[in-house]
Amino acid sequence: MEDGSIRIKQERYNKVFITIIPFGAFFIALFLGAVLIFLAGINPWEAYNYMLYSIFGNLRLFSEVFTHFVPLIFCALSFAVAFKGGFFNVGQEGQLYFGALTGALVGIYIQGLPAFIHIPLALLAGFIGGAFWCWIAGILKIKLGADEILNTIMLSYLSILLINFIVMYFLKPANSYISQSEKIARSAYFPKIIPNTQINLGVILALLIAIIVYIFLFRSPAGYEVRAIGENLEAANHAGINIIKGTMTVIIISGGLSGLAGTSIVMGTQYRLIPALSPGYGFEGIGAAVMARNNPLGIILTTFLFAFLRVGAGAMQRGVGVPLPISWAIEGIIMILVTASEYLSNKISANLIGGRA
Amino acid sequence: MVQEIILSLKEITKIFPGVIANDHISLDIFKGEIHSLLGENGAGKTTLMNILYGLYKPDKGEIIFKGEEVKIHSPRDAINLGIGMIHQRFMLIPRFTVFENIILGQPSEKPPLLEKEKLHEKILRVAERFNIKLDLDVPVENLSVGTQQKVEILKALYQGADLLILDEPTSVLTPQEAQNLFKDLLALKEQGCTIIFISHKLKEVMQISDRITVLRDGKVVGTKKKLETNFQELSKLMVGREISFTIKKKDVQPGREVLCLEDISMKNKKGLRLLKNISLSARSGEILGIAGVDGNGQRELADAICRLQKIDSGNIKMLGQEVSSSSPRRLYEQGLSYIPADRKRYGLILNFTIAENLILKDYYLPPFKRGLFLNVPYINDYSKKIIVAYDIKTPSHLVQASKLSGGNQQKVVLGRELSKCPKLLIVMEPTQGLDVGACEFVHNKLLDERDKGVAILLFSTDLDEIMSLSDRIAVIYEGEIMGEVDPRKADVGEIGLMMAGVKYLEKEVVDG
Repeated sequence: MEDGSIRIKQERYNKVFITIIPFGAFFIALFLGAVLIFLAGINPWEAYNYMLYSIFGNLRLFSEVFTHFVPLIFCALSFAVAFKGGFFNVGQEGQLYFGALTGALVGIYIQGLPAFIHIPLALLAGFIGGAFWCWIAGILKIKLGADEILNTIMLSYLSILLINFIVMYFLKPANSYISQSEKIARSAYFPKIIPNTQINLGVILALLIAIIVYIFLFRSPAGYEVRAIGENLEAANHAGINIIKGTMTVIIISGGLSGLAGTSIVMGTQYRLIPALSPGYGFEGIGAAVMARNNPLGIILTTFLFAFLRVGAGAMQRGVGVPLPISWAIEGIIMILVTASEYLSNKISANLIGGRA
Repeated sequence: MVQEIILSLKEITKIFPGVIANDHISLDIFKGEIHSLLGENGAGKTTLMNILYGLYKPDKGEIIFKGEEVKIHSPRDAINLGIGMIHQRFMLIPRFTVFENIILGQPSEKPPLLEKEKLHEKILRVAERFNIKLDLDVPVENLSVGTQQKVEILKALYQGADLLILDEPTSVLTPQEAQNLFKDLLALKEQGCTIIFISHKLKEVMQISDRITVLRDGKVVGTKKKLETNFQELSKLMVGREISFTIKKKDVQPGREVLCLEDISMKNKKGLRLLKNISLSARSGEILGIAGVDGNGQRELADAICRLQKIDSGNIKMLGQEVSSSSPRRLYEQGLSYIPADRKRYGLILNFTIAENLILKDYYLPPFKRGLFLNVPYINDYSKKIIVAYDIKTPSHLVQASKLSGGNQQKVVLGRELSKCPKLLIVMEPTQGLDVGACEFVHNKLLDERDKGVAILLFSTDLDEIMSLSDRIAVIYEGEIMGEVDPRKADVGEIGLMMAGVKYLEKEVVDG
């Protein structure tokens, strides 16, 4: 399908080559990981085998992969959209928490709605919460030219501590000792797709939204505008594109996606707001997005990989005694090598098209 | 007359992946001559010189310098041999003084001491010998581009160069500065320096050289003595076909007034006046050329008309309507096209495909949009048509704009801006950095538009371009219009004076 896209399609031979390279890098990373495991005095073959079999052989562990997958993919998409629009949102973690708060409020305090209204309503609230938190950094950038990298990070700390405080002093039931809110209404729970597992509506939602984001970016006029601004602000301005409006669109979407990450944890896993909601999904999501070159479809793959490794790390520790830090190191090596390999494939594709004298 | 050969290149070959940049190039340079390397962009001139300067390693071939075969592995080797290169972009540190820039990178004779006075003396002696007048204690950032170039030349001479390579030295200079450079080069030649002058501008090459070697597609297609050749022959060698130098222009038939500027002024944030009381008008079917040295308010004026910058006072009317309440987008919809000067920065999104760049101003309008989505099949067909109509050389419409040559990039911009049938066209530096063939193409397209009845405002620092295309010429200096002349009657000297700030007193009314 030659006419399927207005993005560049490499000629076939170098396209195949370029697709192979990141996978090659991935396997080299696994090999280096094996060396690390070996140095820790454990048989790497056994460790990797155990990881694979325990996850694919156990429905509970397998479904746990999806509890990580859903928030991760939202965070990665959040970073990718903003990046494409030239806005460096690295405050996914904080926006996640704020979206969890607003989503949870709708889940807890609105009662008696049917699920098909309550669920979208809570999701919308979560989207708005995350979008609002990102908007603060955005308006600071647009009005004052303040650096968004710094502001989104700082706002993350603020958000996490704020939610901590709100849960402790306002949402905690008076008779409880544990710092957590009440449960959200049943009608706001994500329905399970496979009973007795964590595979719920959130998974479908996440995949659907990844595809929507892809279509938005590459097939819609608004997404075109966003990419034009991100690639060359001056040219976009000269072309008559409204830069402020476009940047605002990006900020709202990016923040909203992070908000959905938080809401999806509340509605799919925890069913209540707790202070330690995210074990760093925001930051890991950025890694997954970078590894996928901010392509929403690639992000589906990379976030799944990260979620898998997260569960696998726990399994390897329990089963064969691979220390967690070694698993983290393996994850880091994969990220570095795959990302670096992209520069290599870029270089190769440039050379094959022909250098210019 | 037997002349001593100072440098001889034998069968130099350099292959980049996918392209042969230098294909068995053999070349002799005589001592004390000015030898030009002429060729279009991408002909391999710069690659060849980078090999000579040790920046690239040749795949094949040998270099014989002053009678001995040499291997040049780095610029340091080249400098030690006495080869100096003045790059297109200067390699100076703006905050350092001229003196500091010249001694930069030179080992001190008595480390760790730096004998400033002694070195100062030494530089002055070199400058005196070659008759270069420079104040050594001024920071380089305060100097004009032409003077900065002098610093580069003095630096090379101080390092002991007797073979100087100048890569497109006039591309950054005003016409006057270029003439000064030529004077300096001739003086250097008197002193026994050998100069290799790289250029794609025929006129300069004919003015300055003793001999000219023409490169095309990485091969030497001929070496000529200046006295035995002419424009026609050189251009034919360079492009591979005949080029007409006289632009055929129909008589001007101006129609109604399309653009009217009344008393426009603009200040920057510091209160400095960027535009002063500019009044101009452009009618359909004519080209109004705006001549001036770069940075005299041209960009501000163009941006003001497109509402990309706000004016402080005055009126701008397009097609009889006040534009002050419009957005750029509204104006583009009403028939304004703007081709900005720096196409890579303002005109194109380099990482976008050709197709994506072609819809940069229309992506939100049907038929490019269908419902909520981009109409991809239509966009693809449309792009293919434009590529054919504007002769854009590319394997596909899905190639990134960054991968195209300058000429083809400009054709993408032209294709986008002209295919929507503008009524008013603002063009800035349309041929900057383009080779002869592409220039000819752009000029013809502009004249076609004029004949179709478009009002064209042509901003250019290239006086030849202004003279040959315009029906009227206004000269801008420090944001002020110095006067308006008829190109058929005016002479270059007169316009040159206005470009330098001398007002044209006896304003004549020019009509078509």
